[in-house]
Amino acid sequence: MEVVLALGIGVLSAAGVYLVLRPRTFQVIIGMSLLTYAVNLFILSMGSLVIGGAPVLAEGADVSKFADPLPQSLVLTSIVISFSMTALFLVILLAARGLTGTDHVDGEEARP
Amino acid sequence: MLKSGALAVLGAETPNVQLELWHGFTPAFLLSLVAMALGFGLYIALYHRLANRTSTDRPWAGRVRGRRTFNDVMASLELASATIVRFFGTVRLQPQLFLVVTAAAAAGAAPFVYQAITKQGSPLTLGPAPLTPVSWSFLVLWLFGVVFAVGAAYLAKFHRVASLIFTSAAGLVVCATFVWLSAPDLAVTQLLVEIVTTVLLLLGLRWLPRRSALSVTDRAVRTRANLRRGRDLALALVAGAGMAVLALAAMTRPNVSGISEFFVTNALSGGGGHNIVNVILVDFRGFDTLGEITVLGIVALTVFALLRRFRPAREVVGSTRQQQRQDAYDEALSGRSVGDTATDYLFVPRIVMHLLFPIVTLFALHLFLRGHDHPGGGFAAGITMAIAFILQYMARGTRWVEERLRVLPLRWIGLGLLLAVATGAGSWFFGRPFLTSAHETVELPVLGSVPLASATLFDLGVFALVIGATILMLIALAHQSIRSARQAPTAEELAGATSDAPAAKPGADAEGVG
Repeated sequence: MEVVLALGIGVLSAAGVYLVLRPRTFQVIIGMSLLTYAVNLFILSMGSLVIGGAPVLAEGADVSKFADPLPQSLVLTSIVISFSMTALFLVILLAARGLTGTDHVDGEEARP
Repeated sequence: MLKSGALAVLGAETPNVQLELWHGFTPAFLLSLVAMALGFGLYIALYHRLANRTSTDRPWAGRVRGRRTFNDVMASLELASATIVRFFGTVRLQPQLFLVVTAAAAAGAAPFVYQAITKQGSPLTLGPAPLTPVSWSFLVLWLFGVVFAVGAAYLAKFHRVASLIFTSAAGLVVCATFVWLSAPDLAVTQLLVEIVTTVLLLLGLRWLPRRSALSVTDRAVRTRANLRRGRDLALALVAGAGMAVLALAAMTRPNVSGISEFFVTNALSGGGGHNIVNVILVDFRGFDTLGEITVLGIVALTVFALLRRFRPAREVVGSTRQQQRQDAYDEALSGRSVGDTATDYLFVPRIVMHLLFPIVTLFALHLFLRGHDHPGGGFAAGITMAIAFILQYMARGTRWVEERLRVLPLRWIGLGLLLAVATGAGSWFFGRPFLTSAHETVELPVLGSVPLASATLFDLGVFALVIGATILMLIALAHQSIRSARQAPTAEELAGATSDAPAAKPGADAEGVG
């Protein structure tokens, strides 16, 4: 499981980094989303993998088998912040597109 | 006489009060004398200045002009940010991001390189913890995840919608992974955020230029572009490999029990909730959440402010190609009016979505109320509520919803933030630090004994703010399709076109997202 998840994180971040370095604004937004997924999984994996141990107190729940709740709450904050970032980037993308007439990240087409 | 009046008001508990005209020189009397003397003195001293002032002058604050101070502060702020941008900004984003990513990768690799050279400390190897046996369905899930991620990266330039779908699918894989790895709260939130993000991005796609493969014939330019892509790909592979190795190395080491144990043991006794993650968010780390929702509110206001001045590029104003094709089809057939196709093809989903509104609302309330004890919570509930509105926009089009709906998202944002801060400040009245929470089991008339926590009020603030912020962004983005439709004739008049542009029909906006 650990190997599969680590490879998944690796592929997500590689795809994200590649897209973030592209010249079109939409590519950058998609890249940021993929990078967010990778980072969120990465933070979650810092609490080691636990299956079937959701940190919810209940009758007969074994506290020692719980997943670490702290990375989870950090990731929850991270999801919200990345959501706001995506929305902000989207609007900056649209505003830049309206102002400059292009969707290049620099506001003008690259000179050949 | 005074006594009979006081008795009527206060009843038998009226204290025995003695009123006299002269109490002697008590301290209170002396203080009154001093205050009066000071008042007269000031009046005499300032009489001429006060008598000569014009009605627009303010006493004491004569030189200070509120508006000028405000303008000065704003101007210096702008100057400061311009200076910062001049020193730290670049005109080209790509080299800057390349440097940032390279620096991050180098910083990540540095300690291990150092260890390899000095042969000190433990090198980057797998830890001793046993690996969890692999589940085949998890493997298949991530095979799909890899395909989605690579596909999204590959398609993002020429096939934006496909790329967006692949990204969302990768998000679903992440969501399933959260479920698998015992993080139900994350899964719920990720799923809901995924829906809203996809819709927002879809709304934005309409304003991007069409992209077709450029046929660059200049060989030097093509070589340089390919070289740059190769360089970025290499950097991306290095970064991905680094993340994978680090994650694996961390996961194979035994979990260090840090402060998490405190949260697990104190969630119920200290926070009054069974869902530890939610208790951490709204109670133990409430300050963090307060900052988080403030960020969300600021972003929503920024989106709103930026889009008010939004002017779409000339070539995307007016109907999209899909709309034009539909309109042409409608005009060609007799018995159909323009906009029928856009209205008809969503007929059944529209009714379903329309009926879903109360159900989704109920679900949002359910998520909110169970949040402290089960997966859910204010944020998930707020997003769910916003999705209920998004469904109405999708089903009926922007114009229809805007004619019937008054949500006032700005007030939701303000109220939410105010409620969260007020809940935090409430603990001051009990002599506790900001955001201390209390919980109690209360006997209510119908419901019986109900556990109540002040963190629920805080969560209610989060809920209101998230609804407001999300809907504000949605409205601001969705409203653009109406504005551009209004602008379309003017743009064509400017271009000298004489054909009378068809006025946008209500249903036409439904296609505006495409």
